[in-house]
This record gives sequence, structure tokens and C-alpha cells, in this order.
Amino acid sequence: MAAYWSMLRKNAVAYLFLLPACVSILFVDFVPMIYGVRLSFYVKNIFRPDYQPFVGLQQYRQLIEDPLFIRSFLQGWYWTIGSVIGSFVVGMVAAIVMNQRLPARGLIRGIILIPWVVPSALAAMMFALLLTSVGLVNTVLTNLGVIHDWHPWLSDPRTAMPALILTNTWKGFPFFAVMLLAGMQAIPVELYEASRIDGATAWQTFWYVTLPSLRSTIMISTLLSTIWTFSSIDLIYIMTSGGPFYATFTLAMFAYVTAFGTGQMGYAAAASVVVALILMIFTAIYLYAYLRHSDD
Amino acid sequence: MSPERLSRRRFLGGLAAGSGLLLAVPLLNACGGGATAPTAAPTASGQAAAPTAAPTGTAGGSPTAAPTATAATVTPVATGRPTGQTVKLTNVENDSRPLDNKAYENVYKAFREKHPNIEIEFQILPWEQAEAKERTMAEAGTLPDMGRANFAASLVKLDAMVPLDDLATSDYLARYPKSWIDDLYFEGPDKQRHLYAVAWFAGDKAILINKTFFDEAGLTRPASWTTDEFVEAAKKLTIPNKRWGVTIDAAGIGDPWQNFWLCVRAFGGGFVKGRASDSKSPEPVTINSPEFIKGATWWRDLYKNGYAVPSAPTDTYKERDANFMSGKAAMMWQGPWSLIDQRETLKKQGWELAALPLPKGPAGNPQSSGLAGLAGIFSTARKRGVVQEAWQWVSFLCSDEGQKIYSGTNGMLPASQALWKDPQFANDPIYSGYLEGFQNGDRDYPIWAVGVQSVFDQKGVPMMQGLLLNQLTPEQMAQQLQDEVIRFLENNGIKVPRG
Repeated sequence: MAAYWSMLRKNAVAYLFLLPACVSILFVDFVPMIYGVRLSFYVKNIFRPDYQPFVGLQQYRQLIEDPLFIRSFLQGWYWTIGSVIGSFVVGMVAAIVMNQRLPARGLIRGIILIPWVVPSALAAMMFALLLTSVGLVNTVLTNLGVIHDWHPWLSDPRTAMPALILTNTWKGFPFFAVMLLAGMQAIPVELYEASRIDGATAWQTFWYVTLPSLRSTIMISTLLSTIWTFSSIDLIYIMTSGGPFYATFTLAMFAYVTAFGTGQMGYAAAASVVVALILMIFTAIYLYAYLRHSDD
Repeated sequence: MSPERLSRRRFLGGLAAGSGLLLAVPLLNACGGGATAPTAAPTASGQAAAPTAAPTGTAGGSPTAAPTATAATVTPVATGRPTGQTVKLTNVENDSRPLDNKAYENVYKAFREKHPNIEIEFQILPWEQAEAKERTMAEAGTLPDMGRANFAASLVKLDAMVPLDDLATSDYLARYPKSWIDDLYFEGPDKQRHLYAVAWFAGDKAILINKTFFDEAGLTRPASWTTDEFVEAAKKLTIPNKRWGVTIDAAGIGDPWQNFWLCVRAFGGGFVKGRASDSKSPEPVTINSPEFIKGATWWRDLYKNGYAVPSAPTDTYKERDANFMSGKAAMMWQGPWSLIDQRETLKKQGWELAALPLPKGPAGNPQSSGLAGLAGIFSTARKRGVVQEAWQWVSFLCSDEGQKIYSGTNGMLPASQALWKDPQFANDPIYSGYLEGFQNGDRDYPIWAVGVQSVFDQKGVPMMQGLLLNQLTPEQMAQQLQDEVIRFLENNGIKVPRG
């Protein structure tokens, strides 16, 4: 115990420096989180503030029986997996391009990063205009003879989610590009020289040298992107509001609309706790991968 | 004290402790909620949190005096603060259209001439997010002092609004049609109905048409028309892949449901049997009816037959307006919002704007007319002791003078009956379809169904999308919506008799 106090005294300044961050995390993150968990055990409806009975796990049971919740859960994964895979594939191609000794490499890198700096709301509005009935996408596809009639991409349940994923892919691929490019530049040149001496093709070099060397980077960036995408609603909210007829309604949208649309705060808190638990699993995997990567 | 004694470690330690305290104090203060001391002592009516006015079951404040053009009298106020002291207030609005800002600017200019000691900062919370944000702000105690109060029903439940019973005189209210005054009363925390808002513009619906397209298609503008004639016009105005007869919105809040509901009501559907305005206490909900199904089918078929813009399932009022103003559609249901702006936009493209009354169905062409622009005072003003100053602004905005400046700038319809006869509005053809609609208006739902609009917006609107996309039949929609409405009302402690 004495040793503990001695260590505490010795590092007092360091702890004092940590204090502001700890206090802000406590009040900004933990207090609302605990309040949210507590709220999930109560019925709290904004139109009936004087009636807030404790119902235990009843709202969680209700969630499991709610077909819209199940649908939102599945669509949340469709949205997340589609966006992450799309961003990863395009990001990988972009990273490979940026890693080449091309003329105007700086300019190319700058252009590739543009989608990342465009605000989500602006990107959403831009793509909504491109995808509208008389938008550029329909005009180009009609002129090329790919389609005969203009297609309402965001208003057709079959194409609404893919259109959103396309938008999110455009917005999210620079993150992967930057991460993967950093990873590629850390791969020893000797590995590429050895593969060339062994007569490997470009594809074989990518498959057997580049990809395995990027394993940790891919793992970490994919996990981060999954966490961010699963809980994001900005693009969906602006482009489709979860429609048409719930075709793009994700779990995060479910929680938002339940809380602020129909005013069922307790029920929404229960849905948010489920979202938080799912994200915690991914955060734990991320931390494990990060620590292992650091050890390597 | 020698400089050597202040070591770097001590200095940094002190700095860190100071930073920690600096951060912790506002955070703890924020968590205290509403502990902010008022900037001035509360005035007499600033303390009117629990009003003593008698309950006003129907139109308790209903005036009996005939409306007069200059009846915008305001209760004299004593602010309880030294003369000449400038008071700063914050006003919130939900309309972000450019002409609306201009309209506010003009009203504010006239207001400042009369009240140079009141400064107002104007904030805009966009319509789609306004209710959610205002509720959150109300919970956090961070609402502005006053402003647009169209979501008063939910804000009053949170005790976030100041009753106006002691502020607005009966003469002031007498300027509105008698049957509309109920819309200004809400059940307060004391379970009594109080006046929580006054209004500065009114709303109903008409069919806005691109007159140029009508003329090109050889269509004449009828003084009244039926739902069948409307469909026929939409058909004639449609040019495949270029232009559609009508643009409808089936996404967003407010407008989509209101427009759909008008179609249902034209076929005889309704929330309760008879007029919603006459229903004063819970009675059986009649959404699931053959009339609802007929109206919903008619509305769906406009889309199904290719007469409506194909993006309707995700179009909000903004896309609907854009479809119409860009010439992508020839007609739309529309309230009297920013008519001057719309007329000018069409004019720039060589087109002419006109308004037609709603098409008549088997049950006529019932309107959802009423007070649309509600203004109120939020509890923040009470906390800050500036209720009287906030009322000065609210009452001026809603006075005949304020309404005339506002509506004259951006093309809204004033809420004061006297102004309807003003040549500025009475003689302009773009207002004619609307002014006629005021005669047969009814509420969308009865006053006892508080908050039910959120069910229509959050459940009904997605069902409308399902209807358009053939994923839901009109029969299924009628049944599911009725169930949702009853569940909502019962969850909110409103016992609904079964029919």
C-alpha cells in the first residue's frame, strides 16, 4: 500500500494532466451511457412525462418481438458490410495507384482524398441529385442505352440500399486508401526484389507479398470502419430517411426515429444499448488486434 | 520568493490542477440543470408557470367580438427593468427558405422602430429536425426564448412553454376564425387547457398548377373539378420520361401525410365519424374504413399509372417543390408557402403559376385549414425573466401589422380574417384557391388525440411508401395504421372506445 501511495505521489503531475480528460470522458461519455442503460428499464414517453414505470427487461423482450427491429438489425449489417467491403476494395486500388511512381503523384493523392474531406451532408445531397429521376446517372445510362426508362434509384427498394452503399463507398474509400498506403510504404523493398527474382507475376506479388504484409493494417482499418459505419445515420437520413418503406432502415435509424420521431425514449434507449453492445464486441476485437499489432 | 523555488514540476502540476478545475466547474454547472440565475427579477406574468385561468375545454378563450382589422391590442406590460436597458432575446424558426428570412427581417425592422430596447437573434432549426431538436433542447433547458411553436403539443408536456392566457386579450384572438382558436390551446402540466400560442399565418391546401403546361395541353382551368377530372388532367399533362402530371411527396414529416389525408377525406375517410373539430372527447377511431381504402387507392393509382414523378416514395416537400418548379411536374398539392417565390421562379423560365381548388371526391373537397404558423414563448424566457419582452415580439409578429409585412414579403396567407379582404391578398389569383378553402376547413384529427401526428409522420408515411411500391395494400394500410394509432393513444393514457 505504501508503495502504491509512493508511486501515486511520484506521478502526481502526470495524473493531474490526465484529470481534465478523465473528467470530460466521465461526464460526456459515461454519465449519459449509464443514464441510457437505466432509461432502457423504464417506459419513458415524451408525450406522457408523468408516467414512467420501471419495466425491467420488458422493452428488450419487445425489441426481439418487433419485426421492424429485426429488419433494421439485418439491414444494418447489409449497409455496414456492403459499405466496408466497397470502401476497402476501392481504397486498395487507390492505395496501389498512389504507391506507384507516377507523374503528378501528389496531385493524384490530393484528388483521391477529396471525398474524405467533403462533409457527409453535402455528399448525401450531391448523390441524391445524381441519382434522382432526371439526374446525371439516369441521363448517362439512358444515352448509353444501358437503361430505357429513367430509374428512381433511391425510391426503388431493390436499388435504394445499393445506392446508399455506393455513396458511402465513395465517401469512405480514402480512409482505407490512406491506411493501406501507409502500410504498403512500410513493406521492405527486399521482399519485392526477392519475388521479382523468383519470377512472380504482378498478381502473385500482390497476393503473396503485399496482402500478407498488410494483414494488421487491414484488420484495424476494417474494424474501425465497421464500428463507424454501423452506428452512422447521416447519409441514410438525408438521402432516404430509412425508406422507401423501411428498405434502408438500419438499427441506428431505428433508435433515432423511435426516440425523436415517436418519442419513445425508453424503448429507443433499449435499442441503443443493443447497438452499443454490438459495437463493444467489435471494439474489443479491435483492441485485441491493435495490441497484438503493437507487440509485433 | 526566489524564482528557483518554482520548479518546472510544480509549475506544470499547478497548471494541470487549474485546468482540471476550470473544466470541472462548467461541467458540474451544466449537470446542475437550470441553475443559471435569471438575468432580471421575474415579472408578474413571468411567474405565471401555473396559471390560474379557468379550464378552457373547447374554445374557452373563444371571443364573441366580431373581428376587426385593428384588433391587435396587447396587454400593457411592465418589464420591471430600468427604462432604456437593452434586452437580448433569441427567436427560433423552422422555415429556412430565403424569402422567409427576408420576411422576418422586414417584420423585425418595423418592430425595432417601436421597441428599440429589444434586440433579437434569429435561429433556424430546419423543419425536418425541428421537433426532435426542440424536444431535446426542452429536456436540456436550452430552448430559445420564443419563436415558432408548431410542436407546442409535445413541448407543453415537457413544461417548456409559457401560458399566454394572461397576455393575449380576447380582442387579439378574435381576429382568427372562431373554430380555429382551439388549435392554440393545449393541456398544460396542471391538466388544464391553456393558451400557449398565437398565430401569424394560416394554412390550407390547393393544387398549384403550371398554367403554361395546362394551356399547352389544351386544358382549361376549371373553377372546381372532381377527382376523376384531376386524374384525366394528370394523364394529359404526362409526357413519358420528360414530365409528369403531378408530383407527390411520400417522405418527410407534415406535408406528405396532410396531402394524403386530404385525398382520403375527399372520399369520406376520417379520424372519427363526423367532423374532427367537433370531437371533444375520445371516441372510436375510424381510420380503417372503406372510405379510407378508396381514397388511398385513388392516391396510389396516380403513381401506379405513371402520372406521378417516379421518385415520389423518397421525395420530401423539398423535392416535390423542386420537381414542380423545374417543370418536371405540372401540378402539386401545396400550402400557401412562399407563393411569391414560386411564382417568380416559374416566371424566370417563362411559365405562369396558378392555384386551383382541391378536386372534389364523393365527400366533397374537405380542407385541413387552420392556423399554421404558431408562435409561442418558451420556458427559457420565464427562467431569464424576459417573458414580457418575448411577448412584445410574439404579439407584434402576430399582429395585423406584423402579418401583413410577413405575408406580403414571402407570399404566405395571413391568419387574421380582416387581412383576407385586403386587396393585396383578395385580388391576387394565386391566393384564390386557398381563400376559398378556408370556408370548409376541418382539423386532421381531434384535439384529444394529442401527439398523434407523430404516428402519421413516423408510421403512416412509410406505409404510404409501401402503398406506392405495392408492398402494402390499401386494406392492410388501413388496418395497420388504425392499430398503430390506437396503440399510441393507449400508451399515452388516452382510452379509446372500440367501435
